[in-house]
Amino acid sequence: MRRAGLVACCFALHAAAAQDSLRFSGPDAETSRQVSQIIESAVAAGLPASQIVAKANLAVLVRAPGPRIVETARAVAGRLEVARRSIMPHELPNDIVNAEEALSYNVPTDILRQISKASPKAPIAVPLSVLTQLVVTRVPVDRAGQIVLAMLHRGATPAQLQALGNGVDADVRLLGAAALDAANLRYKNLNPFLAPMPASAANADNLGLSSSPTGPKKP
Amino acid sequence: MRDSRDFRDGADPVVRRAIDELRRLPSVPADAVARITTAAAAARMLPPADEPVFLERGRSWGRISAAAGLVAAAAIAGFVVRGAMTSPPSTRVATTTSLTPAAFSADRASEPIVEQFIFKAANARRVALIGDFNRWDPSAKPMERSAGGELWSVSLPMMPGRHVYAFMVDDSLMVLDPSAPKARDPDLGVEGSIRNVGRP
Repeated sequence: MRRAGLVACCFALHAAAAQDSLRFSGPDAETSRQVSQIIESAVAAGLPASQIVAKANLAVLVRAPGPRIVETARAVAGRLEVARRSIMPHELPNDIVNAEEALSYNVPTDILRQISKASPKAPIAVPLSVLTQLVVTRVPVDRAGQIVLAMLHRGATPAQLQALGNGVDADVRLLGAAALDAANLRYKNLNPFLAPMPASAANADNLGLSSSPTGPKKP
Repeated sequence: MRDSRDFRDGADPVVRRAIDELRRLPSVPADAVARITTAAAAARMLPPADEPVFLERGRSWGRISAAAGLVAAAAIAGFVVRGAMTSPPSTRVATTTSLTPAAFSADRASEPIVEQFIFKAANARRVALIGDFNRWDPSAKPMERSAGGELWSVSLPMMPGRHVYAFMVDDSLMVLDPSAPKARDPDLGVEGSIRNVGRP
């Protein structure tokens, strides 16, 4: 009985901590109220609402005006919903959050869908984060999607994906290389270490992987 | 304490559910399943001597533990059987074996990974790591000053993926990590340092 009470207490404390972590305090009452409503709706919809809280807190930290904070929170909530739909059946909060970040940099939902499909059983946070990294580095979004997808189809590990993303970033940032050239070169140099592209995968996606000059070789 | 026969008879609803699950799987030798479940039940009921707390458990807790052990055993048996029945014959073509996705487990890929952050600020009185992982809360992750005095560091478990962060110096100045890539936030237009976390 005492044990049951202890367990119940632990659950209550855990729930309280979770609630606390989703609490938002804005620069004024109206902003706090509106953002809190957005957060509550996201929680009710089963979305990872901590992403909204984080972005709203960042907005407060950089002294964004109230309406901008609300607008930002609303935008994140909307993208989380789209992200979740796009990467189904993946439903890990971390996957959804990384898909939301990709969407925030205008990655089309079609690419997210294909990444989800290409990696049906493993979490996709790392491929999505590398995709975002490439796009932020100014690799054209279609090409960034092609490279990440091709690497997934060819059995690249998260570490290989991440090394490519970091390598391209370093080439651009430290060497002043053109992002597209750097991405193509680094992907091409991985060719000997990746499995051949499955024929089904090359036919399944319609991103033109097989026609790309630096794309993977067909088996 | 329950007798293991009770579990074999399926009197317990949890056990009944486990048995139903097993029945849905391809047929397996009944004696093999019975052997595994009996052994698991016996193992749960005979705690090792170095676990006295287990012996003092109340009746209901003991029952739950035993049932949990049985369910786990049944699930393992189910997975083993299902794996044996559904895995393709041994004609799998070897590609680049060490580089295929099978080389890492899906479970490990979603576990947090400990990351270190180091920042140089000789004159700072206080430095905190802030980012999406702690909801940009300056009180959440204070950094520790090194013995030499000019380096500040902190380690924390982070989920795989992309993280945006900065350092908060003396509770007032937000500074980017000079050693990390940075990106402009598409919603707010402010820059943040980027850390892409993934298992090596």
